[in-house]
Amino acid sequence: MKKIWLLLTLVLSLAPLPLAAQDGFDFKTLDKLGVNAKNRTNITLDSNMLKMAAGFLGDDKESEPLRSLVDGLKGIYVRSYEFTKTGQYNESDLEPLRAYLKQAQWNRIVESKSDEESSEVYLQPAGANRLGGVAIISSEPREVTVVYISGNLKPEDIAKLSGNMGIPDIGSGRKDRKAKAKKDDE
Amino acid sequence: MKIHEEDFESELRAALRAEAPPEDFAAKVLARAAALSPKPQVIAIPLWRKPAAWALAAGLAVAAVIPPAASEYQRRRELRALEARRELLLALSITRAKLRQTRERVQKNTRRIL
Amino acid sequence: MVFSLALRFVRDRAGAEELAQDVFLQLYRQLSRIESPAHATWWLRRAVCHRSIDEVRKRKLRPRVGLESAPEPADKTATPDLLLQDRLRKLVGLLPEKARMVVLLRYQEDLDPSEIAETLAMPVSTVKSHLHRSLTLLRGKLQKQEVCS
Repeated sequence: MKKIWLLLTLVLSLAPLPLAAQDGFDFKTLDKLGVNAKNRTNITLDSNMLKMAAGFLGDDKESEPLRSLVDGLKGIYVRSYEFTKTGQYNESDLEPLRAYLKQAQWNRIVESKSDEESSEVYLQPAGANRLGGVAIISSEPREVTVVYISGNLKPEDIAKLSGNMGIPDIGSGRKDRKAKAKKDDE
Repeated sequence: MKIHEEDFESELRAALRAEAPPEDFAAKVLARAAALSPKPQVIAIPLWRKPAAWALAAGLAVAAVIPPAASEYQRRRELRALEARRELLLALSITRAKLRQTRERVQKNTRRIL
Repeated sequence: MVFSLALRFVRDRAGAEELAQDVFLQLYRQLSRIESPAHATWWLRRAVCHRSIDEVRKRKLRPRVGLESAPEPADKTATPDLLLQDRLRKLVGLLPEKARMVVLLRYQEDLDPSEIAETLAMPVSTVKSHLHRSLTLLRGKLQKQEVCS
């Protein structure tokens, strides 16, 4: 009888479904930011992919902070673009995301702007001492990065995200490229 | 009517858009499946029309955990999981870098003001 | 997915329904090997593709005239003024079996070439070649039909 139910599910479940926007925001709208980019980092991890990844994070004590953080996550989306020269992306292409965050009542807790650089950090409140997500928008002349993390987070998870957790640095590749670009400028 | 190249693929997608099976398709499949079983099965039709049955069937399907076997599918799944892990670590590494960068920028701007 | 792929491929509603039912029953017999709904989807997609191709070959539904040698419409009045999408479906139905299935998996199921290659057990380069040739053929045939209409 169980097999019959399984079969029924499969027959009924294979109707084509509309493609829902990820986590309420369609990250495809950010693709135009990177049209002229020399290097692109696009990461889209929904809850299924996060579960798969979590299975390979290790069982040791050192991995515990990372595992417990990932357990609470529903999605991670990163769009990071590096350019060879300035003026190769439009700041206005970030407005749809800002508008979405505002409409979804995320709080912008940090906004730091200077002549050439800008950083914003948003948090989404989700009840008593809980957060529904953290978003970062960082722009500078030759790089723009968006990070969007949703899930069931505690305020101390933000500290975890900027801590070590046994995660290696991004990689000398990005740093070397930036250093070279700066040197080319001089 | 001229078809521009960029519209051609859109028209092709629209022309080949998936079509749903007839309404009684699921019932026919179940009836044939039941006929294959050694004992007669009682299938409540049209249960499949009721949302609760959908939810129950979906839950059963998810809950039907079959011990993984050494198979090509399993190997590919593991590769996907490893790739997801790599992307997760990269995403968290970028997040950490940007949070730290934000903190430095705030500190720099604060010192400038002071 | 299963019924729709079969329908677009064999272009015969009754035949597609029967084929799709057979595929689900084949899955039913092998349910113990299926690990998850995603695995089932992957299995079903492969099965319907291979069975559809086999069925068409068996029934000798392959048109005697392939798309490449389909005659150009010689007389405007001899060609019915069909809706564009209907014309496209008919033209796709005239493609050779493997090319037809590659086009369906790309444009109906939105699979990328590597996924199509895995489903049909063919090299990625062959998939891309089928796509390129088929689109060129389809576009050419469609434009020629328009010129004549």
